Amino acid sequence: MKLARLGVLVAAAMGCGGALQAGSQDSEFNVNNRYTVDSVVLNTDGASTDLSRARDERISSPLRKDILGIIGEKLNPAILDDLARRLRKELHARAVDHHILRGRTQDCVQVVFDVQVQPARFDVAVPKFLYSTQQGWSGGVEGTAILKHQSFTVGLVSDGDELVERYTGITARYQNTRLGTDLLHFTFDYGTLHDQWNGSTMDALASPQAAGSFASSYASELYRTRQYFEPVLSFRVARPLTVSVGASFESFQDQGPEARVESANAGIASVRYQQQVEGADVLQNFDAGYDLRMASKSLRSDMVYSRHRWEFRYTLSHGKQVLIEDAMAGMIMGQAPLFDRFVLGNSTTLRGWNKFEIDPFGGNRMIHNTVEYRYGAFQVFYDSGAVWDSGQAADGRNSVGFGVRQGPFTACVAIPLRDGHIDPVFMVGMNY
Amino acid sequence: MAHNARDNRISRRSWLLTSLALPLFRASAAEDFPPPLFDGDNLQPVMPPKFHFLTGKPLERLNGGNTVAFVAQLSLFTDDKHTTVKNSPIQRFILSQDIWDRTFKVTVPNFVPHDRTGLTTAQAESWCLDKIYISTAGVPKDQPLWMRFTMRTVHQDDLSRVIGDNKISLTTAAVSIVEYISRKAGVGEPQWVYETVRSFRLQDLPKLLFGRSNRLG
Repeated sequence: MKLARLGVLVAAAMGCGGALQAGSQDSEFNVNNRYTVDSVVLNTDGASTDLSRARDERISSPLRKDILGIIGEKLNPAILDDLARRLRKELHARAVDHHILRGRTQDCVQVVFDVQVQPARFDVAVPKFLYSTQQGWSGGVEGTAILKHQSFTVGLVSDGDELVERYTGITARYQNTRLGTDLLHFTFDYGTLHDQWNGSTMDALASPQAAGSFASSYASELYRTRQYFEPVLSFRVARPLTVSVGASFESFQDQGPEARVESANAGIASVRYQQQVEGADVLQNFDAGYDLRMASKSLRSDMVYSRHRWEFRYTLSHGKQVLIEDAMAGMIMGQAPLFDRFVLGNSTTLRGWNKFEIDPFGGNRMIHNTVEYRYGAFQVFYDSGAVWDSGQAADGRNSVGFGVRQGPFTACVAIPLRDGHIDPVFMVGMNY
Repeated sequence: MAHNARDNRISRRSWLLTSLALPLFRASAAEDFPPPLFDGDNLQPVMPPKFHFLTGKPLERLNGGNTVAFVAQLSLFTDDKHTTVKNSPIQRFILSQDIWDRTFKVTVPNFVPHDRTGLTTAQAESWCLDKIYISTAGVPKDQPLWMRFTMRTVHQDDLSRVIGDNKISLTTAAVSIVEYISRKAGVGEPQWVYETVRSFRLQDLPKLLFGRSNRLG
């Protein structure tokens, strides 16, 4: 109360020509503003990263650019305050402070941002939400409790878009992003799902041709439920290269009257290369990956197969313009369960085509390419690809589309390119 | 008997209230200091030798090259300590420490900013304290008075508002300071409060010269 009264008096004093000078800045008063910044370091929970030499992938490109922009410039504490505020937001940190140290040479300083990690937090996210006039609704919601480097996620999902089946159920994930070192991550995924099948898939599998050749050769029977758990270790070999190894134990119960339980236990491995190249006005992202899933009798798997998948994605950003080239291919050898077979004609591949029309139970060979151009919120794309079974002829298909994308929200119209008629498909949702 | 025992017992609620209130009393308790110096027009506090404000967390921040601001104010009270006779303007001091030669720069951000560079810790403290005084104009010379000295650091989040901003008009900036000063000191924001041990009257104080040349306003 006393202080409040003091404050009122001060306000009155200032109102009649008081002590505050308009236009004053923190940087004007700091004696160190005559020094030049020669490096910027980020300290997070004991780990230190020199941002001028190494990339911290948790930081967005614009922020990284602004942080690196202070190197070579005179120290400006007001800018450091702003950068600390932005870092706190992007890193979901409890607080981000900054201080300076003597630089490598006289009259230079090193800026250090100290990140105080939130000891615990809880996030709710919608990893996917989509409505397509062709496939209906798909979506998921998940809650994540984060304790320093560990996170526990539980989610509900119902997805009729990604695979041949519509799967609905509960998923859970444990993730440790610092297993002794920042370079080693551990993830454990679990899911228990109920499966529903489209009439096209059931009809196709029930047909005499399928009963004679397809079902027995390439795929499992239809199943009503499936469960999986998947422990994976990821190791960052070098800054752009990550190698993951693990195992996937999946069991599913046939839809038939015997309700037989089958398993598809596989060793899994992946290699991912992610590189970002920043030019003066241009930002390029290279993302290449190879995934291998190898199910064998040695893991007590009823189904024996190997699944290979390659993907390359290149993104070129210049101001509001973004150009994306995404190519992928896949191959399965052996008899794979239906959830592992390749599907095209959904919300991300051959958009506009009906996946059940292309291949009602997916294929064991796949090739696909997308070229997408975005200007601000506006986007146009061209998809082409084919999915087939080995021994069959590949039938290439194309589609075009346009739409708007704002943050995680997307709405677009996709048109399959075929002779005879135009049958556009409308899709709207987020994070798909 | 049982009824009496119950009456004498201290309830859990009382314990809880007492334990909650205790830190508040500690926080608001003021230390004592001797009668101020008087030059005939102004009063200046005589700070105890043990008083240092460049310590602890503020000094850590200064060591890290950050800007740290302090605000200080003097108040005169009547002898019941409840009626304010006069408050001084809030004085602001903006400090930073040179990362290379470890000397301090102190700025008083008035209409014409007033600063000193190359100061040691003791010189920086002394230079700031010399700027803290209260005019006795209008104060009866025979009235018993008490003086209170209040000083605190400015929270980092409030720094730009307290030291001003290009985009903020004088009026807005003034409001920001009111808002700031009305707020309780948070964790890690030191606050010092001193009060004169006994009341004094202006007419009883010897007239001395003290740092008039450095004074502002």
